[in-house]
Amino acid sequence: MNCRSVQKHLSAFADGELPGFRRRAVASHLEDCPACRISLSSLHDVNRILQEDAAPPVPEGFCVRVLARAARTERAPERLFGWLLGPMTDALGKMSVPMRLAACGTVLAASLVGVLMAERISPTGRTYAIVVAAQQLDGLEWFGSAPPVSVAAAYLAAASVSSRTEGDAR
Amino acid sequence: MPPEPIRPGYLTFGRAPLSPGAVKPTDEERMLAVAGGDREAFRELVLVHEHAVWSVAYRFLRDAAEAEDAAQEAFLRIFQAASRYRPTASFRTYLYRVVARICIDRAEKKHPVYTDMVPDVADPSPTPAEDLAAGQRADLVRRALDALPPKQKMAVILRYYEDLDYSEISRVLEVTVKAVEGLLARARAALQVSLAPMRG
Repeated sequence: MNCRSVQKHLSAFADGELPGFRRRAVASHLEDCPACRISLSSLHDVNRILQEDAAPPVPEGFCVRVLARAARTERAPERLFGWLLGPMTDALGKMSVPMRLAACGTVLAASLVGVLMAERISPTGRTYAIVVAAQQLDGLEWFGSAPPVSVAAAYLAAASVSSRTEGDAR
Repeated sequence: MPPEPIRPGYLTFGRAPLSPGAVKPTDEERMLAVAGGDREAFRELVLVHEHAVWSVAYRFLRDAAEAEDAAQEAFLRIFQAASRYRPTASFRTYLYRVVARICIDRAEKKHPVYTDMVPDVADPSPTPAEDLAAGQRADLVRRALDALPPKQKMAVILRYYEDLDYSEISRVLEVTVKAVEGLLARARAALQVSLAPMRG
């Protein structure tokens, strides 16, 4: 081993973290290399200096303050939809990763189906035309101001279909 | 290995005192108890580990108020995540990971410019000779540590103050052991330069 590669591993060597074969190689080099021995000694000095610096003691009452904060979080009102999201996140936490992915996939698929269904029943195109036609029926004018997405509009649509069916039968 | 017998004066926190020779619960068992709603178990965890968490937070942040807030936040996160805790790794590693992440996130939010090299520009702070005066050695160490990038600084704190081995540091910082070796080697190279006035 040359000085360059020894220097690269000297920090781990000083910490006793080099694997056996490399540690022996570095130790063997150090026996013959005064410059690398000085570097090693300098690393030990750094450790010694660092350890002179003591941290202040834990502030008095720290534990009490942590427990008080924890109690506050326990009493804190549930976040929006916490009644739903809490059990869901707990359930997800208990699942393996593939199960989590499967659960997320299912939710996404269900959302996609929901969006597609909404697209089909939205008051655009044909459905809207039915609503307009139904508004022409006798006795239903007062539903004229019903917004397209409403129970009233749905009723009009149903009435329109029913009226057409009766007309066709006659 | 036989179970560690309970030591005299062990904190029982209002529970019935454990019988002589009773086995002290492990941190992992305490966490499972916290998940089951046992607040005393959480209190025990805080008392057992408050020194380590405070020490890491204080050494990293260097501000008592901010360190206390970070240390409290670490324990709170653990408390809130107790139901999701799985004792797959040691609790100590888990705890260090939480506090290390909080500290590093706070440091990164401040957006300071860190450099791997010690600046060679003129420093308006006291000269090295003055630094060596009594009471200023600690300041010099702190400034040297504060000049390190966050991950290097945390690796130094975990290794040289908390006595974690490289493998444990790698799990705390979520990097490889090789990366830890690199972080510490670069940190020490910088510290060798910045602490040179203190070396005998």
